[in-house]
Amino acid sequence: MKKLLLISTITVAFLAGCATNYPMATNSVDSAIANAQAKYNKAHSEMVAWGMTKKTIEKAKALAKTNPRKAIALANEAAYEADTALAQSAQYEKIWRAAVPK
Amino acid sequence: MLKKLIKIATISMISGTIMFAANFNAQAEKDRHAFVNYFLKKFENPVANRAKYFPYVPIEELKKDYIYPLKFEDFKNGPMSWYRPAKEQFAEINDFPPYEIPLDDGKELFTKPFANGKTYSSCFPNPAIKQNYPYYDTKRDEIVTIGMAVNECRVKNGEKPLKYGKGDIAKVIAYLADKSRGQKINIKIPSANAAKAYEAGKKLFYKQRGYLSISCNECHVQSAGKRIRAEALSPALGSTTEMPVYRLKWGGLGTLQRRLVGCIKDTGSEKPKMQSKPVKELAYFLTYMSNGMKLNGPDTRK
Ligand code: HEC
Repeated sequence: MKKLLLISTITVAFLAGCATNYPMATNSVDSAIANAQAKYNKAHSEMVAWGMTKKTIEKAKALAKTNPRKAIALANEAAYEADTALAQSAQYEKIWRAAVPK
Repeated sequence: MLKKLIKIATISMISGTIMFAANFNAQAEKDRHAFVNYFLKKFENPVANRAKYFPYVPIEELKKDYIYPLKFEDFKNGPMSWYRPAKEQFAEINDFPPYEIPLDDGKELFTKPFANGKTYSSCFPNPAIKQNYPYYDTKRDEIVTIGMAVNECRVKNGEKPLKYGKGDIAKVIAYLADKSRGQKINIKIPSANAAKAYEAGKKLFYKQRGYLSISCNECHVQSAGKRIRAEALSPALGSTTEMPVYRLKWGGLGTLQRRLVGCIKDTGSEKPKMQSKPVKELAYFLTYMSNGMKLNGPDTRK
């Protein structure tokens, strides 16, 4: 019983981890695209978006009806990029001053 | 007594403001001195200081291809400042400078009357003004680039603004640059908000970005004087003096903002608009770093 509880806890934790870390858990085209768009908008407004994220979202939108599986994959890729760009910015925000010649 | 007190208070207030005003660029001046010193030391003797600055460049190459010692004014020639093969190649190209035709066009545009009969001279009675751009306009509370000044002149005279970055606007700026040749860059930081704009530009310069996670600093300070693929990396010191620049790759003139946006894109970042606030701030910072250097634009680059 204890073992079962442990396993289920681990599974739940794992799933929860997936849900927050990997947008792959999103399965509807619309929500995947909305998620990517929101994250991209944030990165864009902070001027840290990467070069291809916007195009990837556009591709996802174009495929939403004809190939939803591919569209979700693309939207998730874009969301991942935007997330990473924001995390990168937060990380370098802490250290860029060290590079200024003194 | 009261009068005297008021007088004293007024005087101290005024001098307080003056002292405060003089302080807006204190940090920037510290930055600039360190920046200039870094480059002077780095290019004083690359052979002797190889271990510190050029550990991965073969010593034979340092001896054969590097021009040194570089003095302050030498830095305004981009990759040709330090890389002999580039210098030789461009000396040949500039026997018949490719910017001459667009520069002539710029002169024609500058002197040709607008529909209302006036010319650009009505806005730029003295065209030798490029050394002051980009400047911080405290009334408008924003950075004004020379391209903006050109377009505002057009609009004031009932003309449509030009597209930024290349074409006619770059030609008109080339004319202004040519008239300003030899003037020393003179960027000021006149207010607290101007200092903020400078700091924002500085951050954009030093902070890694894009999917390459790379900064301007890594290529144009730390790696200045090294080669990347077929390119010799130019020092950030003096990197705005030759603008607008005729690039062989572009087959025409381009403005400073055009180059900046291209380099931002090359880090794997989204390409910002040329006259967007961050790009203007970057230009403001970068030009400030070369304060005191003589303008030599337009010039030619790869
Ligand atoms: C991956 C390296 C790399 C990065 C990062 C990079 N650049 Fe460049 N940049 C180049 C190369 C290569 C050239 C062309 C050769 C040269 O002048 O260095 C160039 C040219 C320039 C020039 C023209 C210099 C001249 O004298 O003609 C400017 C100005 C410039 N870069 C500014 C920037 C700024 C500002 C950033 C940050 C947004 C930046 N660069 C980021 C590689 C880079």
